[in-house]
Amino acid sequence: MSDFRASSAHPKRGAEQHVLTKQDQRRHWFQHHGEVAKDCLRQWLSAPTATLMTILVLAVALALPSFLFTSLANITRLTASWDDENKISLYLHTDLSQSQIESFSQRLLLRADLIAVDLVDAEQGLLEFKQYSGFSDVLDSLQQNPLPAVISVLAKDTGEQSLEKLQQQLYALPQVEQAVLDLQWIKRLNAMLLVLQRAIIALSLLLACAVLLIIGNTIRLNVESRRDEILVAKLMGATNAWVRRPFLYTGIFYGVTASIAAWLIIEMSLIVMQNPVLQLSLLYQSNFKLIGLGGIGGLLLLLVGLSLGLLAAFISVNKFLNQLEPK
Amino acid sequence: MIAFEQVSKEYQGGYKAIQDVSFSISPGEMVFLTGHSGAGKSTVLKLIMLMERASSGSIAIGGKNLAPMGSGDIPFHRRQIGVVFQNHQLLFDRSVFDNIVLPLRICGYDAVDAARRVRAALDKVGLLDREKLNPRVLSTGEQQRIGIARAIVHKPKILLADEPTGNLDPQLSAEVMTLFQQFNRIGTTVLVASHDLNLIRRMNCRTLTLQQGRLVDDV
Repeated sequence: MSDFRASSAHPKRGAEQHVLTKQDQRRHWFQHHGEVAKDCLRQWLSAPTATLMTILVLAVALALPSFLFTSLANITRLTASWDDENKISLYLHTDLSQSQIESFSQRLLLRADLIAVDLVDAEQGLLEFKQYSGFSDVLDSLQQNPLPAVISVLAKDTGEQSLEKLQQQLYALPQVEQAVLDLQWIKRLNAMLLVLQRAIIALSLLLACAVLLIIGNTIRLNVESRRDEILVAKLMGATNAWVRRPFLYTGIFYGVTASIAAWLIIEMSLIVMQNPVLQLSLLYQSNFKLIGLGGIGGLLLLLVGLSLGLLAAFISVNKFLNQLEPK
Repeated sequence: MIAFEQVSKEYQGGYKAIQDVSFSISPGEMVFLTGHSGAGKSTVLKLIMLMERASSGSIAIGGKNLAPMGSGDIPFHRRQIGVVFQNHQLLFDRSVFDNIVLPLRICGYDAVDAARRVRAALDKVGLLDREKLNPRVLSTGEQQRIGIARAIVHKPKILLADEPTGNLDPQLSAEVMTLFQQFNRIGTTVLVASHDLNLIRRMNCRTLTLQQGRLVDDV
């Protein structure tokens, strides 16, 4: 608001100068904002194709990282729903008879360090595999069931070390051919997701720079085309804030509209993906559904777009204004 | 109102535009600044406007020293000065009215009040009927008078003019000078840089003469 301070003292001699009251200044400040906003809108409408193209480029640059983050959030949500981190799958030797398997499974039930034991015998396993894999024809042509019986056990102690110790113990049992700690691949998956997350963050930063450069360059051209006006206004006592204002509006406009366009792109991609994902999750007996950016995500995207636009405009105009400072 | 004290301005590369210039102009005075091109007339005006800063010496405008003014103070310093340029510096992307209203919009005048003042200024330079035209279609003399209307519309304490009659024939030049005299008569301090010696002689005002960056005459 300080930029409309008018000279406060009447000159003793000289032409009578108008003195502005605080109220005048405030009203003018709003008035100028309104004028500038209208002016900006008029400018964009005068070159709709160029404006639209710039907005689309910006939207793609904003949509890509947002889309990747949304996908990552969905995957993370999916893995979080797997709560059986303390599950150990015991693959039994195939030469064991059915009764041997059952008595082994009952003996496991007696162990104090296990809270659940679930036997999936070879026949049952084959059936499930046929049902979900789509390889039923191939499996039918096999003369012998290639699958071993599997016993899934849930450990009482969920500590990583004790789980590994238990896995070693179970593996040492003569009936067990292989003892697989499911935790391990979840751990691997989580590690991979972390790498992916870092990669997406790096990509996002790069694309944010791209957005800054695109908006910055657009505003720079804008400033160049209004060079004379700025020079004259500065000589008449325009403050830097006054000169900057229309360009800041332009920057915000680009940032916000590009964010909205990016949001539309993401939501539409998710709608396209929703059905296939639903089918896939049904195959895995899951009711997993894709979740979009949501309110907070959308707001964040808008805020990022707005700040990038504002920052880009600020940098571009200030670079020009700094050249005009007296030396 | 304007006080120079041993002011020098040296540009990068060692070129000295003005050296050891001292003079003082009282409020309400009308003064000419003359000399050949390159003598430093424009530099003096630029220093007053704070478009440039002095290399040494001190300048005070309206009793305020310019040296400590930062970029936040410059706009308010410039608002008390009206400038007429040789090439008038009008904006051709807008009407005469919008050109003249610019200083008022910058200073924060109410739209209705501003419109009234613009018409008063246009009336003063005798171009009230040109309000809606684009300045491009006006003659050189009319463009210069629009430039003057823009310089005085916010009633500045000081009016600076850099070769205001450079592109005008003698009759138009005389008209422009008469305008300046009128503003001076209502109390505005006027400083006109010009090399038109005949015109200056006719005006019978105090004249500062610069020669190769030095003040050689003050009569």
